[in-house]
Amino acid sequence: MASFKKTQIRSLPKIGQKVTADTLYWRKLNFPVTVKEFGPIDYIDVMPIEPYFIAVSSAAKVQIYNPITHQVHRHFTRFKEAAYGASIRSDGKLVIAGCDEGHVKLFDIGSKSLLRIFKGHKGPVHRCKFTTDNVHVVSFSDDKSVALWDLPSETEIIKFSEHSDYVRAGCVSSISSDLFLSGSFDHTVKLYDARSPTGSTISVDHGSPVESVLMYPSNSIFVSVGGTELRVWDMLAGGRLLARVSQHHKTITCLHLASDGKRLVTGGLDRHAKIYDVQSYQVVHTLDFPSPVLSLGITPDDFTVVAGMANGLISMQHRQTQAEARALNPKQSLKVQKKSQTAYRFRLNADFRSVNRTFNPATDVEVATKTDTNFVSRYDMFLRKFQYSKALDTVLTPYIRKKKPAITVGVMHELIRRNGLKSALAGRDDSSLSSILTFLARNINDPSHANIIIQVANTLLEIYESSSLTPQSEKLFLQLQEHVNREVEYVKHLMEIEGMLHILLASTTTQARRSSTYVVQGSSVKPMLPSAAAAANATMIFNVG
Amino acid sequence: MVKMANKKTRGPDKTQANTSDIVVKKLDDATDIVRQPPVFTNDSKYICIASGRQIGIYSVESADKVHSLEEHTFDVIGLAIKDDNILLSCDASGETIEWNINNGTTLKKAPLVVAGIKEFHSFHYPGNGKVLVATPSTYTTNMSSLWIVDSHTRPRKLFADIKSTPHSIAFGCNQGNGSLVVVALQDHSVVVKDITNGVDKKHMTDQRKFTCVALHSEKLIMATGDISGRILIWHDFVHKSRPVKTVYHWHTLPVNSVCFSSEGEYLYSGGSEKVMVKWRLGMSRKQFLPRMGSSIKYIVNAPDNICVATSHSDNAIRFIDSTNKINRAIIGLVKHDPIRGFADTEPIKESVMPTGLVFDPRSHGIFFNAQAGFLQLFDPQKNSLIFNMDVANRNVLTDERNLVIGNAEVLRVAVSPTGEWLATLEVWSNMSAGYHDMNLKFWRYDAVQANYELNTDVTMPHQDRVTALCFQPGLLGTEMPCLVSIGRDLKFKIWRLVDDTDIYRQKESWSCDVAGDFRKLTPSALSFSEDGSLMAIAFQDTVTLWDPTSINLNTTLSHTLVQEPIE
Repeated sequence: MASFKKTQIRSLPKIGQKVTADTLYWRKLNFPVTVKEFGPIDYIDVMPIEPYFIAVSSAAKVQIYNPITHQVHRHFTRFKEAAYGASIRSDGKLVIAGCDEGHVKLFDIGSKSLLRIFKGHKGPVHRCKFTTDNVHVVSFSDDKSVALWDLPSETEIIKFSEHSDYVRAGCVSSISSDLFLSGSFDHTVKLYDARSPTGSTISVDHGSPVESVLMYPSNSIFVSVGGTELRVWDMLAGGRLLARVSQHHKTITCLHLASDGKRLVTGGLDRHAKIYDVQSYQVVHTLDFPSPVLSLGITPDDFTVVAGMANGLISMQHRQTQAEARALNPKQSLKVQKKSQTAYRFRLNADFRSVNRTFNPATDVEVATKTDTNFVSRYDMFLRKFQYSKALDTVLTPYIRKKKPAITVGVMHELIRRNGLKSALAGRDDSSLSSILTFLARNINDPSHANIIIQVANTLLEIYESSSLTPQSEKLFLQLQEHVNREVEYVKHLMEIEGMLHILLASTTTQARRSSTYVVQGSSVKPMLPSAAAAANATMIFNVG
Repeated sequence: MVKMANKKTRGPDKTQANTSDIVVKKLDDATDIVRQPPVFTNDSKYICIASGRQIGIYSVESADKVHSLEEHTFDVIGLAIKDDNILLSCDASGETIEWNINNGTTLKKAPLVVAGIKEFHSFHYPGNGKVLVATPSTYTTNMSSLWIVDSHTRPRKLFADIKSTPHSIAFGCNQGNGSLVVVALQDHSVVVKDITNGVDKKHMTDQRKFTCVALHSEKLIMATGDISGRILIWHDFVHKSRPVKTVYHWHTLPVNSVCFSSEGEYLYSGGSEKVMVKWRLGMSRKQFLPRMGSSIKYIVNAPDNICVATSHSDNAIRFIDSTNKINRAIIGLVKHDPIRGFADTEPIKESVMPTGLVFDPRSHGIFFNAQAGFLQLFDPQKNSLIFNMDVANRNVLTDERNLVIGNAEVLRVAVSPTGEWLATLEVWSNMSAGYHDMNLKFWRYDAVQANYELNTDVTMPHQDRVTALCFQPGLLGTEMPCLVSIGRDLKFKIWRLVDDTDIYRQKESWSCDVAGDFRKLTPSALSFSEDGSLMAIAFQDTVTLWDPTSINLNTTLSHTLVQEPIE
């Protein structure tokens, strides 16, 4: 009852992108460091253990980058033509890459030496993977086949030739060393089990050439991308389609899991990378790149996001560390420091209090307790004291006026309520008048605040209409008038367009009616009546007319 | 239909009669606890409050009712403590009753005999068997005459033509020798009588009318408040014809009550600013207790000087402890102050109780207006207030001297058929500023917290005043809550609960589904069929029937003889 209620600041939700936990999380990526390669970046693989080296395959070489220094740690150039799909083993010691000759080459990262060459494919090998047991390799080739190789003996174990087009996508299960997926340009995704050499266990139709496939760590769901679509399949139900998501407007080229398997990232030729929630498949954030994205890599801790692009650019973005955030915003860090000091003081007090705890008040003595005073903003302080001009002054400082206009409008609203607007606006000098006028001119066309701003502007005009103004303020008043005139023009145009739309809508509804009657005449099919929504729409329009 | 027209022709008088009926009934229910100033017992443990014909004795410690004394057949006009345990009360017919405070029994009944007068305005008891009573003045209406009644001598008339309010009469100033001084207020003057020494004085100042007076219990000091908010402290006013005066001026609105502390160190004052000011006599220091919720009517100090009780216009008595804080309150049925600043064309119902009585199916209580911006839920079966809810959540603004400042007022309330949803419409309009503001709020009942939680707040739901709100009843309305509102902007709008859940949180909110109008006529009334399958909206003299799900116009009903808008 006795507490002062804070002024209500009405902040209407902004139209456009909502600020969510995810947008905040992904917005913390720093400005990218870019490296230019000679050819398009075909594939990026991230070492699953620290220091999270990044294997980049482009043109005729495979390079291993250090994500922190952005320097090339190792590079492997023993390819005659293009190298594809370099992938690092889970212990981070070996790297494997396919190439145009149809070979799969195995290198040691430490010594840079070529250890094995798996020969047998008749076409280029675009993707190759280590299985989970680390002693087998799966390769996916343009000769429409998928092969499983034994690493120590360098021999082929099984070969599946079920696809009818290039196999350009593949992945292995993270649980079983026998399961692997392949995606091909013949629109199918096939699941193989090395224990059943007769053929694929599951085959699903994606509907467009498959660019990339991915199996969830739980091994019950797999995802395929190709064309502009992402499809989610249930593996346990024998390849039932769970979801179809189409968020890109050009071909999706790559697929990656992030945030510990909670988010899915796709990159596409439309130069975007979209981040999805894996439960609802809603896009939670979008990353933009300067060129079509061909490949993506994200370190397991989400610290670095690497994207390879069609023009040979590799972009590496790091998450902002706390030290960096502090350096960027020194004011905030000061505040944190201050807070810690007060905490220390309070701790001292608390200690002191515990020492004094032996004090026992007599029963007839009433001990007055100190109440906590919660934070009151400056404008509320002045409003409480009925100092309306000062309250208005505090919310007209450049920072609040420009960054948080809702606060200024909220205080103006409160002043109107209290009938104190006139006294708050009256008797102002040139500089404070100009700050009010610029604020009004900036915000008078904002529909969420317009009614209050217009009220303030009217009051201002009423007060200053008869007083002599300096040329500067006069200019600002004229500027305000210009803003108003322009807004009136806009609204006029909008109403014209609205009228045109109404005509169009009305004509479509009447056409729909006519066609329905035609059906009645032409055949004995049950007559189709306009739907409830359409009928409602029609009555609405008649009412408007 | 014709019947309806007949009803309409005598419309305004009828509504007025209805609303005053309601108000009178509430007062008869003996819940107006602030009509008379309360009285503390000598040990400051109990407080006696007159409400209508009843007297309640409440514990100061817990603010609970201890005894209810019901013997009077007329409204009680004054209370006094005769002895340590004896309460003296007097009703408008002049019957005085002595009560035992400890057990609530009647000790003695006696009629007051004052020159054959049968009607009394106020009653005071200075002690020693002397009684002061005010009776209607013989010549001027709304004025009183003050009589002193003693058991030994015949009643004597002290003053004629004094104001009849309880605070325009004061007594005190025993000056250590048991003498008695009585003062009373006329419009522009104070009349003084020293009973013991037989001195008469009349003091005047300027054209400001006096509103209240108080006397120091021992010294010759008098405090008066006037309509300009000025408090005057008069020194030695019995003997001097031009006494020395000190001016204490903080209030901008009329001072409603002044009160000396029982030891005479401080002076308390209060008015419509809802602020109690504590002045230290002889010094410029003052303390404030702001935002007390409602206008102060009376201030009473306890004899032990620790506790102060204030009576407020919202039918509450609040106790202020020695640290200047409100720590307890006795709250009756909250009274809604009539809304000012409405246009004259509005019916009186609109300002007295705009929400009307709205039944809540969940608690079987009734929703109606409380203070400005508040809504109370009253249980008629138990005759108790369930809660008083702050709908507007704004600081209550007080008037300035020449300026009426409006507050946000709850104008319409609707409850969903299950009682889960509550829709409130609050309007704040300022005629002088030419600006008005309207909020439609949807509240959801939270069974765990046992209160209503704000779900959606819509600013300006209609361009002009909303005239009716109604939830869709029946099974349909239970499954998919739906609210219809009509306004003077010629529109009717249908609001539905929309699922706004995304991956971060679960949320439901209300949004406008359909807005429609009918031949540019003003909608005036709104109703649903019992099962919620049909919606009727009256547009002036035409009733239209709609299907609420598809918003198809089914039929329009009108009569050639009916021309007035249907209500």
